[in-house]
Amino acid sequence: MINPLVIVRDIHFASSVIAAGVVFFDLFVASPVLWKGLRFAKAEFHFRKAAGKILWISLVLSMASAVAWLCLLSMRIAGKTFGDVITDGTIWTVLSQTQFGFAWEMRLLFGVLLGACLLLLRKTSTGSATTWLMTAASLLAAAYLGALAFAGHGQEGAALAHIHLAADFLHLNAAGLWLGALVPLALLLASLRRFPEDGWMSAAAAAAGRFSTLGILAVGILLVSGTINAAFLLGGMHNLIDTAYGRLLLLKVALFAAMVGLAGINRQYLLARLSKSAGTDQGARTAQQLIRSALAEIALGFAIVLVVGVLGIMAPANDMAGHVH
Amino acid sequence: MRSPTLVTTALFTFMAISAANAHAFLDHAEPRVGNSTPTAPKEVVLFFTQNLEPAFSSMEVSDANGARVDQGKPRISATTMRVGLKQLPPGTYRVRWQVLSVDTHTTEGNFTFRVGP
Repeated sequence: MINPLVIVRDIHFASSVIAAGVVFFDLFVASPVLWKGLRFAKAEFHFRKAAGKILWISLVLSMASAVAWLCLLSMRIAGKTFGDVITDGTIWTVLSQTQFGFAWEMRLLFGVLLGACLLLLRKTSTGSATTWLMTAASLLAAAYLGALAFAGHGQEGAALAHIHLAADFLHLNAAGLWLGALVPLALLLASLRRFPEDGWMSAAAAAAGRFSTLGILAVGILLVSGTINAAFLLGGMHNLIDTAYGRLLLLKVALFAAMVGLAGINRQYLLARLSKSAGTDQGARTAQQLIRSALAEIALGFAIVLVVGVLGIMAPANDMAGHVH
Repeated sequence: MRSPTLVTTALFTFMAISAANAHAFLDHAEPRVGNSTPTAPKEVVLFFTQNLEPAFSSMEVSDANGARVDQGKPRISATTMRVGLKQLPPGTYRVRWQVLSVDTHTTEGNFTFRVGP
């Protein structure tokens, strides 16, 4: 039987990454590309309506799964039933007297503030106020997603724990910037294609180009932060084979390799072709291929999230190798 | 992304997208695990590999008959947990511990030490 905590963690990671990704995408890609007045009015309306729904569903799901995570964790720590941890105050003790609880309090606060910011955005029409609110929403989304590091093994590393925490914080946000933003990217491309107004292929190429640049930045952050995290957790390359944790990690690496490969194809071939053939039938076909490729990347990305849900309840390889005799 | 080296290195970066949690294991103890000490110790100190959560970490010391010989609630600071002891006569004593690491994983264990020649 699958551990319910694994399921809740998977739901939480996926929804948190998507929520942050939609906010990041709006600030860095959608708004700059769609800025040119009402040129893509129908596509923008469709995109914003659908992206807004995805954002709110993800945020609510993320916060609900955070509460479920807290309940399941309290039950596991105390070895009690759900009813018992509620009535005897264990859940409150976990929330108020542990580092996990402190991280959860902060994250729930960031989540509520993010929700408030998004509500204000819906009621704001002036350009400068919108920009400020979008920036604030992005910072809150980054804090909400990144603070997950404080509830995990980002604490590990004794004197170097701060470096590990910072690496974890950046790592999570890089995942949001890439994997999370892939969802609205596919949606924006599909919206532009569905309502083909003049210049839609150029807009699609501009959006994919901006996203691709962000993707390179995200991979760069993942490169540095992931290397730091691996140094803290792996305890030697041989543990990739010798421990169950390491083997699962290898599966994750394989999925990541496929994701990087697809991203490379998108940037090297599809994006270049779309830019050159904008306005032609070939351009339309290329846009469709880009959407499919983005969907495939999303599928691979969330397969990685599934693996993460399991990895999180296992002891890292350095613990397994050092203490299981 | 064009460089194979960059891609290869990048493969290892996504390995820790989130928190894979660690456990707090007993690193060492005073008195030493399984050892004899000629003089009765005044306290038992346990050193763990991770920081502990005081609210969910505990330790008990008992004699060969199962009677508690510790002085109650242990004091916890970062990776260290210590508890005072009553005056111990020669004999074998068992330390039982259960801790929650800041990464939210519970571990437990026990060991004995001996007082006397």
